[in-house]
Amino acid sequence: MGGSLKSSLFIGSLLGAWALTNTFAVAAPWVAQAAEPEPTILLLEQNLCFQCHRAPAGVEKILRPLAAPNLERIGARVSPWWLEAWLRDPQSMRPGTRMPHMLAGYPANQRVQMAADLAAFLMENSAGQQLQLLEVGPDMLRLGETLFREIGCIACHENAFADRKLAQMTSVAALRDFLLDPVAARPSGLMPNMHLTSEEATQLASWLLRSQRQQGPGNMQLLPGWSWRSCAYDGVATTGPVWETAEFLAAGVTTEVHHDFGAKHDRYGVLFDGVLQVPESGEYNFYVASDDGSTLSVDGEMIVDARFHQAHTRRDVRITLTAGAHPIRISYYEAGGDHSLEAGWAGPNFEERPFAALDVLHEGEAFAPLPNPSALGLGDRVRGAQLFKTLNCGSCHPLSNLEQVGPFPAQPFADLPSEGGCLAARPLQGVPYYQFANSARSHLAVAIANPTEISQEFHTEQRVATSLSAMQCTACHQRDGVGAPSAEQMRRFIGLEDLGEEGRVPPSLTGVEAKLQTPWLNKVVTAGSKVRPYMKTRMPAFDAASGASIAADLIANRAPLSMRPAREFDVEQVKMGQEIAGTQGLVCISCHNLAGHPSPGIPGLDLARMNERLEPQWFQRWLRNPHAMRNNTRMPNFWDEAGQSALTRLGDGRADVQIDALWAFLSLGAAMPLPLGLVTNPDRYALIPLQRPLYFGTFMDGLSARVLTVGFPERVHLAFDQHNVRLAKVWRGEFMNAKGTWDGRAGQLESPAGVEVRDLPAGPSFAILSAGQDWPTVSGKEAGWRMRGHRRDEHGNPTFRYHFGTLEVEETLVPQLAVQGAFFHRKLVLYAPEPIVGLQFQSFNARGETKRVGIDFQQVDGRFRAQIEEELQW
Amino acid sequence: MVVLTLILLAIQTPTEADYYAALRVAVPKSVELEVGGMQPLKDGSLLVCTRRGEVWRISNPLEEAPQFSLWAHGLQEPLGLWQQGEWIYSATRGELLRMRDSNGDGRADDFETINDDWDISGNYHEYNFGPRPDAEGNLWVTTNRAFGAETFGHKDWRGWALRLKPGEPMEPMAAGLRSPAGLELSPWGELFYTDNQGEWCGANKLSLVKEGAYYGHPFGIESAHLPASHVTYPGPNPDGILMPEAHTKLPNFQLPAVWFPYDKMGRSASGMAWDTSNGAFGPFAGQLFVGDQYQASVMRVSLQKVAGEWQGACYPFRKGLDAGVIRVRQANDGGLWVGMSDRGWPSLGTQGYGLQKLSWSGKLPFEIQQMRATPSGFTLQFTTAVDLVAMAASPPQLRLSSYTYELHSAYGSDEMETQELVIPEFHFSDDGRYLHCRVDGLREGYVHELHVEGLRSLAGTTLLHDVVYYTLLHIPTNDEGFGIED
Repeated sequence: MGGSLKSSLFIGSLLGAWALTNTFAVAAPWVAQAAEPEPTILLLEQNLCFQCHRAPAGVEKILRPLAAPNLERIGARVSPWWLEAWLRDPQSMRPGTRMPHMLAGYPANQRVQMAADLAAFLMENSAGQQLQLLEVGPDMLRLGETLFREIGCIACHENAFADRKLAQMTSVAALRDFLLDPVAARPSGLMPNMHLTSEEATQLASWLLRSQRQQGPGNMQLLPGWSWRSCAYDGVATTGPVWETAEFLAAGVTTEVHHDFGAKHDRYGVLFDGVLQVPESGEYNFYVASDDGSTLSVDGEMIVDARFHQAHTRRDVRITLTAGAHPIRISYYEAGGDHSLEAGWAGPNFEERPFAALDVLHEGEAFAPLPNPSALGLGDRVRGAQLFKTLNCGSCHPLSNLEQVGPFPAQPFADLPSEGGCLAARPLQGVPYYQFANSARSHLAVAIANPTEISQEFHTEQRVATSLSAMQCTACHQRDGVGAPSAEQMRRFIGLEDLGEEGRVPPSLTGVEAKLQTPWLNKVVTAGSKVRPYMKTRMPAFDAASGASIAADLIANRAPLSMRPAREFDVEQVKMGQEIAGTQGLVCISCHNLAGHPSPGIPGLDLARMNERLEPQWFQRWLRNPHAMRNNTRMPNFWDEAGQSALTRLGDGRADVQIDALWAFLSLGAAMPLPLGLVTNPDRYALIPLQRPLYFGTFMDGLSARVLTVGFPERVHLAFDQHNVRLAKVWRGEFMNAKGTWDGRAGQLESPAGVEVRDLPAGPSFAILSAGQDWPTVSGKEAGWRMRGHRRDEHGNPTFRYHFGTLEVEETLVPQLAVQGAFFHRKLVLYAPEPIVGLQFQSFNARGETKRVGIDFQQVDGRFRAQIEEELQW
Repeated sequence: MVVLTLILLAIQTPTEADYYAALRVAVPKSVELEVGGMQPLKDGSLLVCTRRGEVWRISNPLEEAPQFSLWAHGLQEPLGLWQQGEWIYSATRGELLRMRDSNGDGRADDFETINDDWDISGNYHEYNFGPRPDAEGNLWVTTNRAFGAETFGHKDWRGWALRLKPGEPMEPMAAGLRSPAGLELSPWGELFYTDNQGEWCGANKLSLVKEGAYYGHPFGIESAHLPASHVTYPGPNPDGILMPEAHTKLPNFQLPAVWFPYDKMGRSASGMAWDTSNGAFGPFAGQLFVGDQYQASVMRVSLQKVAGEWQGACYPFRKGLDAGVIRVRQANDGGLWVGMSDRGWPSLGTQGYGLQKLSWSGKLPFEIQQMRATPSGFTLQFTTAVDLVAMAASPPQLRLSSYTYELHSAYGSDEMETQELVIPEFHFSDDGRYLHCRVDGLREGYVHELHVEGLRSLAGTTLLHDVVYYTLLHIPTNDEGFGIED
């Protein structure tokens, strides 16, 4: 039962004699073709001329050849009938594709069989890879369409291809996988990574393949897992919710049974329904364990009834079942407090396990590729393999298991005649047929006649323009007037209205090489960028090679800028910058987020990201007069023509002083202290020290159940382990999130919420050791160290007090701002009735190294005192 | 005419709120006041510690916009406050500490560890409650057992009552506690604690805290082998014997003074307070008020010493509070502060957390003021005189049953060995304030549940609550009279 069912879930059994092949179209699929003539080098690069014809000397080094789609796993991406149709005539399937017609020179009746043979070969060649079907949930299409319109797909894919050809080509699962990693299938990188989550990719794919749904009602079939729905519950009736009338909360599909489907902590119920697939007749043991109540019904009979307000309790029942399908239902409800639900079974031939994906099925809607009635479907894979070689397909689409004919099967480019062959107006047998426009044909003829002219270096700006155009950057960005979107296109960009066009239209690239630092520029093109949360359009991630070349082209075009010499880091400057940024200054935060904390006004670019992105010279010029650099920007001009701001209280209102102070403040990045006026409670459990240090006692992972953490406005924080009587951790950025300690019954182990977490070495800070002895790693009660408590000074800074017998220690920690983020000034004062001979202190430095320091006691007021101070850097 | 009378009666049916108003403290939106402990201060303000580790000072708490100022923060789940001079003591997870504001800026700045001789494993359920002083001024803390993962290893002294003298090692005085959420010093100098139903604890209960006693939960009993223990190891628990029997079979097994029958009287007894207001809080001076977290209610308890042991009765008192009640504490003016939080546990309260004050309206409710055991049965005392003429014409119906619980490892206990009891004779005192009942078949060690129906006061009202649960440990040999001083 299980086996036959499983196979029906995949399209494999439908394939029959189908063989296999190609993928998503070659080069710029569905992209509106540029009206202007392309530079010859682009024609050569994009048509992959130099895959078959050896490039003339000197050209190779400036080439940025595109790679054709990878056909190794084509069988997992496309249907065989689509592949066959594609090979019969690529242009008719997708006008504008750069895939040449490889069969155009053959008589029409032969072409049909050749396409079928090639398809058979390519499908066979990706053995084991088959189109997988995927269930499409109720909201998928709507969400997918929204994504398509919002994140920027439409900028390149104008007509939103509600295309039956696409619906014949692939499945939702395959398109999802492609969208998640387009470069794997299409190494040209022209389709970049749009940072989709798996869910988003499924939604987009569902919408793009929506015509697969119009096939009729036949899409309903048994699919893996349970269907579930949750509802509200008053938390009182011990019989649980009244499922028929209770307020609906949510519904969906799951392969795992657990408690977390209520979208709330308390007072909800969940019903799981499905059809149990019993592999053979015999006795089965079922279990359900829950906190609070649960029931289990098979064939409509309730075999477990545990409708109690209870702690996690398991119940078992053995029943005899016949092989085949049996309706099964689990109900669960949670009144309050802890929650849990586990369920599973054991059978005559399998050990106990939680219900697995194929144990239970439910009826759902799966999309499947539309058939192509005209497909022959009777190819010969052996003939196909031969044809693949004969036609030199492998020059552009190398297959790892297929021997190459040679690196350059055709004549070297320099030896080519300037007409005929690929340039012939009519198709020739065994020659790719490109259907070049006349202008392109004449450009190429000229290039063949004078190959040395191709290799003339571009002017850097020309290269930039070419790269940006080739990679479709100009579909969203303009640079020096090129690529400016039309009014109609502008309307497609969606973002925060309050920020005007800056809030929704991707930024201009004019002068971007002077604005962004090299590492950031590289990061933006190769990893994408998410610094503009208000903009729906996503900056995609290009593959490493094309991304790096775009960045390199831009950087080569960079002109040196003059700037004021940078000032030395100075805490007073940082503090001034902090004040300028806050509500008692120029109020930068009214339009900018800061270190992840939302602005009380408009969520503009995060101020903590400026330092890693911007060239300081550009920052100076920009702040001094934003309007001169970007017309209609919302960024105010804070300083008048004489360089004077209204904020005269700080730095006499001088532009140079105030801009430098802001830059000093921004230079701390995520470690910057928070200015006044930020919205600091987006998460009700986030602990954010603003004006004074914040204390939070908790269980801490890796330390103990008795840890006092202290967070400081300077955004350095510490954990003092009161069980082990030692300073245990320091870190930067965010302080702590108290959810695990304050939510529900809590009692979770907490960890620092920030970054650059450093563990101080285990063991006490002080020890008496003989030479060569290791520092002890045990402290706390076990070693004789005990807490006395702690004090908080007038600013809230802590002094921890502890003792070892008569040795009393007071350890004070005060944060100090510094250029790389703050650090702690650590002071330890020791008191003892007698000097302690041989007592050493273990110091901790920035590289995580420890050092032993001797201690000198001085007699003060009838007892002995020693003091140690250090900068605790990390 | 008959119809009209019924309507009048219906209108006159009094409610708890007619006598005890629940005044809500307006908690600012920014504060999640999950109350763990309360300490009224001399100036009328109130210190409240929260499960989030804060201590708020609330000035003018009952005004429209009370002033909340954060007096301290960063404590680890403090579940009690106690003032001694300038110091405020609190039991937290890892230590009994005390704190003070040494420079008068309104914030505690000096935190001293009084005792941290116990360790915790990192389990959420390892709560500690208190402190409360004993008659000698030593501080006591009760410790809750762990439930589930003990991340940092199993630790000693869970489920114990600890005596903590400053500067001296901890003294573990009593064992076998389960979830001892309430700890209070009685006006006569003895400590009592409340415990929650669960495994080895058949129902919620109120017990005297006694040196060397074992309360029946074996979770932390192995610690009795350690030298510091004041409890002799009682041996393994028999699983499934009646409570009165356990009392005779388990060494030093301590029966509660009062059982709170499950669901009838709440599901999770918590903090408590004695009414020491001499009448400012109404007719129940000297009695005990006990919170319940599940029911969001406050219950009432009267105690009676018989044969040297405390036993007594519990009564419904005030339901319908905002959230699960954790703490009650008498205010300077005699009102009762009610501190609430039901985070993590279901409660009939709807607000999640909060602070209310129960205030007596000055009207006398018609209530069973107390039920006491007598050599031949029980005597009920009423808060106001019964209409003897009406009672002669139409005597009240009394229904009495008794039952006990089982000591066993499963969660909670059914009511066991239930019997209906016969009351062959009852009569009222001449002043109508007392009802004396002769009862056949009294059983020591059993809860006696009495329903009194058809009773009418001189003012024409029915009883506000017509049920009482008396835990009869001993049948008195002579009538010891009334009053709390015994």
